[in-house]
Amino acid sequence: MISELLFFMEVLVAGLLSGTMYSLVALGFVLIYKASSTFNFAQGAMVFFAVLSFVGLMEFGIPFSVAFVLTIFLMIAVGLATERLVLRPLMNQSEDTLLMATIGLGFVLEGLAQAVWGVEVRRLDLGIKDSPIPWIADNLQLFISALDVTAGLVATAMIIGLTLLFKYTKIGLGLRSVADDAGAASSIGIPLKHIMLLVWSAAGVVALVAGMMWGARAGVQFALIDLALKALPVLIIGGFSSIPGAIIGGLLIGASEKILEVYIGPYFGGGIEGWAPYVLAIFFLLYRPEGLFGEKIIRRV
Amino acid sequence: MSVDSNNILEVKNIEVVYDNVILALHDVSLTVPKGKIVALLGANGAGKSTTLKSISTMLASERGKVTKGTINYNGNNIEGEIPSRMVHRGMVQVLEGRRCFGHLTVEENIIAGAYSRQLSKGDLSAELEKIYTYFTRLKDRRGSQAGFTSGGEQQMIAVARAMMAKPTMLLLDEPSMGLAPQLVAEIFNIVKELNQKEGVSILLAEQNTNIALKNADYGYILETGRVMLEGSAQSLSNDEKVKELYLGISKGERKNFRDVLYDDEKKKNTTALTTKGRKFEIGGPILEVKNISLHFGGVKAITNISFNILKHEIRAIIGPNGAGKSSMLNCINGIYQPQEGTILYKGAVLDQINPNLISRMGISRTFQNLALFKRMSVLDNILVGRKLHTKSNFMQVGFQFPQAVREEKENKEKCEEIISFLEIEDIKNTQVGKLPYGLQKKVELGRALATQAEILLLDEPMAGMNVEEKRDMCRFILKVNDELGTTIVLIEHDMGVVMDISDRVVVLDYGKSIGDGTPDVVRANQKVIDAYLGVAHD
Repeated sequence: MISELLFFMEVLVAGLLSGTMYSLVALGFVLIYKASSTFNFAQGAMVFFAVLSFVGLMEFGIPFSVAFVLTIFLMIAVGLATERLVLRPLMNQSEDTLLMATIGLGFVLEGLAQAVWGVEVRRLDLGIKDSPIPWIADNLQLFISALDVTAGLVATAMIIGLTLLFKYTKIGLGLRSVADDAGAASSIGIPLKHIMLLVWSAAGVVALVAGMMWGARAGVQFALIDLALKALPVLIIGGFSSIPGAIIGGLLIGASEKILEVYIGPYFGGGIEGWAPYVLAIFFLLYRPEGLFGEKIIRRV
Repeated sequence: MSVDSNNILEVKNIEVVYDNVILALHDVSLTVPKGKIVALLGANGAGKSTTLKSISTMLASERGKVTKGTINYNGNNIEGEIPSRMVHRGMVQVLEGRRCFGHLTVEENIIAGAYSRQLSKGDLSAELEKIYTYFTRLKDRRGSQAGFTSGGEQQMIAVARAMMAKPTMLLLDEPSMGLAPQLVAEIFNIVKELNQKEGVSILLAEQNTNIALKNADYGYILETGRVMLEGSAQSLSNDEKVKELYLGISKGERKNFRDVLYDDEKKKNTTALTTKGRKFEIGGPILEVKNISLHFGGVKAITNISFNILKHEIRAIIGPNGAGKSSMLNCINGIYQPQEGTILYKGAVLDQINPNLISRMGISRTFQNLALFKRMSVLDNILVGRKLHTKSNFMQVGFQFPQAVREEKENKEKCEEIISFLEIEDIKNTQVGKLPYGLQKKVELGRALATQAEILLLDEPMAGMNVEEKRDMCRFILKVNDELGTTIVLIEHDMGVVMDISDRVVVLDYGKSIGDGTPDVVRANQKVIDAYLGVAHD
């Protein structure tokens, strides 16, 4: 009985922590959606591009921390280029146009990454082992990966930081204003260009961090781009525009994924990890489309 | 080019084009002297908003461009400027239609106005308190989400927010739209104070010619993209043509809105309505509202209201902003479920209703903030109203079964009838989102008419219209009531309209009913006078 419970705890905790890895990816989407009500199809490519550049720079012998800072600057540059070349010319077009532009941007980043850094899979060693933490294993008899715990801490720190930024800083107010009504925001002097640049750069940095965590787990490879797809159920459940929602959604998806796989999977012949989250997402779309924390659409009738 | 340094703004012969093809302004010139209030008047679609947007450089966001002429602000040409830079230069525009940040609180909205200024925390609080002295109502609501405040409060938030940017020139686009007379007076007093105490120059686009000329120093009247008439406010108020067309005063006294119907009939030389009798006599109650109470969280929107609506009558619901009028319609319509009370329609209790069900039962409505399909044409929008009477399913239509073909023909015909009834033939294929506000309101009415409802709920159908257009809309409302016998429930702020065309009036204030009876009875009720008609109406 105890061992059953322990096993369940293990599965649950592993699920929760791997869920935070999904949250990290989802966070990038939330940032951009919050500021421009657009779903950024290029987010997956941004994750790939960011971590690939980071690893590539290290291959040139650049030390870890320097390469990290350089990549951050690189992602800011990508944000700048996106703002000037993609967002500004399309500023007054419909939302659908912007959506398509992000799809295009995704392809450009993918291609660029491969052209510059090549196509081989690379290892990423963060100095954190993706294996059970010894003293937890010995004392609590739970096998919990050190990488998962680190990812959880990092994600939590980022979420707290961003939430505080949005709620209590002047720039956060500017961001929320632009999200509600960009026209009215610019009519009172809120500089749309700066806000957009900031948001896209932030999404780029978040993409880098997410990429690093996933790269350490699964290797830096092309398949990272598809991570973005996994973020979709997280966004639907947590709410596209909610930062705390990204973590709650991630936790829910991560936990349910693992638990369902272990306990119900055998009845389906296994492999339900892949699609169970999407079924959950469909339920939410039917009964609570704005997600758990997303903004209810306020319209005065 | 010589620029008069006494003018803060000089607009010279501008031409404005949208989407590279739609000519909105032909040749507009105007000046705003420093520290003065100048009014831009004219009907919907005349070009007032477009003029303001070319000055504040917000045209680009609607794919518009100034193709000819020059605009000088404080002596400098504004070509190539963008809105946020104009704000730094001291020019702020308050856009048409409220445009608050719905998810932010009232206070956050106002603080956002100071974004472009580098203010310390202390200074920010001081400025905020100063603003609150002008807008005491907003202080009470400072923590509420802006999206949940009433229409009047939202308008005040927009103006307060603009003021926080400390403008030297303010462009106000239709500040009185949809507001009760009392609130309009309040807002204009604030605007006047701003002008006198802070020295802010003001250019204001207004439908309400009356209040605009009362408060402005100078005025320009626009018609189809051109300046038709200009002059000091006083000379314009005394101009005969202006009096007739825009102030509704002919030969010294205001024309009764109901008279338009009989003028129309006389013109057509029909025998109907040669006397002032009704075709459809007012009958018994068709809708009864009993002890309705509605609240949202802690906000009590409606408290224990009861009244009835008689068949074939025109019933008006009036009251200050936030009194609960729209909420009341929403309860009848099925959008809100009241926590207490019952609604009886044709004697049967309405239970668990939703808007879909209600419209099938014969009650249709229009909305205060418009709920049109912006990307569809006028004709298509009205056709949607016909859906209720369309029995063929999509398979039948897909394969063009005879019944489906017949219904489609019938629908098209009925819609063409409505379109010519409302006199909007020339815009029937235009995308509704591109039309000026007043015309959009007409299209909404058309869509409601297409449902052939027994009761029409009209939520401020005349907001944003000048006297001429109101007369027009009244004509249609009266025609609908007269020729089709449709019962009409009307929320309106224009007292002239309400008193002239309604059969009975119910007055709301703070969610309670404070008066119910014929216009004459209500007009004499002291409680109503205090709450609402306090400002002498002319």
